[in-house]
Amino acid sequence: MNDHVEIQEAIAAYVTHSLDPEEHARTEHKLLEHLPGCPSCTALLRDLRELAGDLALVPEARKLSDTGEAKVMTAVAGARPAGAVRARTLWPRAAAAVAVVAIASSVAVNVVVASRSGRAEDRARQAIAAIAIAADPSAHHAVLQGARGSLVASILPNGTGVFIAHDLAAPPSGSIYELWVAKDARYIPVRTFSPDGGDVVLPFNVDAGAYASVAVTVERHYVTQPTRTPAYSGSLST
Amino acid sequence: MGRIAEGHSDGFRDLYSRYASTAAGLAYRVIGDQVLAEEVVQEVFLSVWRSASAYDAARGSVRSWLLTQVHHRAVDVIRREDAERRRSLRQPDLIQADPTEDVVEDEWLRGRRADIRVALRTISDDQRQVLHLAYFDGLTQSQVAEKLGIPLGTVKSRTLSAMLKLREVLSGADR
Repeated sequence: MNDHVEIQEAIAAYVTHSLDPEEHARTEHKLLEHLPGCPSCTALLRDLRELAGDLALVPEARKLSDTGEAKVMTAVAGARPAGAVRARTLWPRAAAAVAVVAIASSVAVNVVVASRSGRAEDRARQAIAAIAIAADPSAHHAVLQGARGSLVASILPNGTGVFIAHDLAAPPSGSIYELWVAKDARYIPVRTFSPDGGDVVLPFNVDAGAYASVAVTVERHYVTQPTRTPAYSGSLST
Repeated sequence: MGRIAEGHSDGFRDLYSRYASTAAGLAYRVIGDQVLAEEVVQEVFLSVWRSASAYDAARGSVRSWLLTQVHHRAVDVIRREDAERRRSLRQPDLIQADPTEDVVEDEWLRGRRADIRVALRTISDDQRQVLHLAYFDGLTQSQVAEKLGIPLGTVKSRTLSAMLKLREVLSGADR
């Protein structure tokens, strides 16, 4: 089959949310690789996303309960919504959190044992703060797959996040790593970094919102769009 | 959206007032349960309030951005909940006029709904069936293929061709 048709079919499936979570993540990666160099598919994604929004109008509108509206407006007024609606995804998130906390803890222990220098203490503080983010029940987690090392990321709904890597190989000479978050088939740059002795604890802040995945690319310098396929990537828990 | 991102609740109230009942209709159509549908709508609006700055006008309308989030979450819910039982009580074919609820709705949205229902009549029965099962019943394309006893590739191609046809028809309608 023509690759372009395959991408177009993937876009149609993607915008109608008719893929299971694994397929959705694979499709998103495929689109992230294809779209930057293809204006026609980028335009198609925009059109079909808009069309999916149109299809949403088809069912007859329905009145919401006064209680539901009150909950939302209370939250907007600044109070924490009573019995706030919670995502029904605690198990996948919890499973990812276990992996993240385990790796974050091992990095923290290594750092604390390694040295009592001020720099090491800073890193230990960062690592401990990272564990706090990773252990937050509202955090979304990603375990990144790649060539070597254990890489994880956690992001809170307010956009505060941490990226943690253990036993990560140094990037090729003259290169750096760049961290990305992705949503709506688009990469958003977070920051660049180089591993120090294989361990990285990297706090970051991105716009609040729901992100689909986290990725790391090898770049020559900071860029606003990846110049190559990610060396590491992983989907965020929902 | 800019005002909402800056924390102006009046802008948010306008957004809620305009789209909440539409969002509720969609969530209910997918999930088939009023309580779960309301939870989805609340969750999405709260998410919008907290992350309005994530909206990018260059990538589509506020309406589409908001309602696709509602759809996505509703589909997530139905894939986790055994909603088949609830769905059996669902309203009739979407192309037919549904019983009206006591809802005050934006006139433009009503007009747009009519346009889209007309557009849905222009695609083939096979295309419409695939689109309904995937979009409104929340099935994955693999589940649609299994349910209809057709190859997955056929589901993919019918979905794309249905959407391209709808895009073509609706491009002539007033937005």
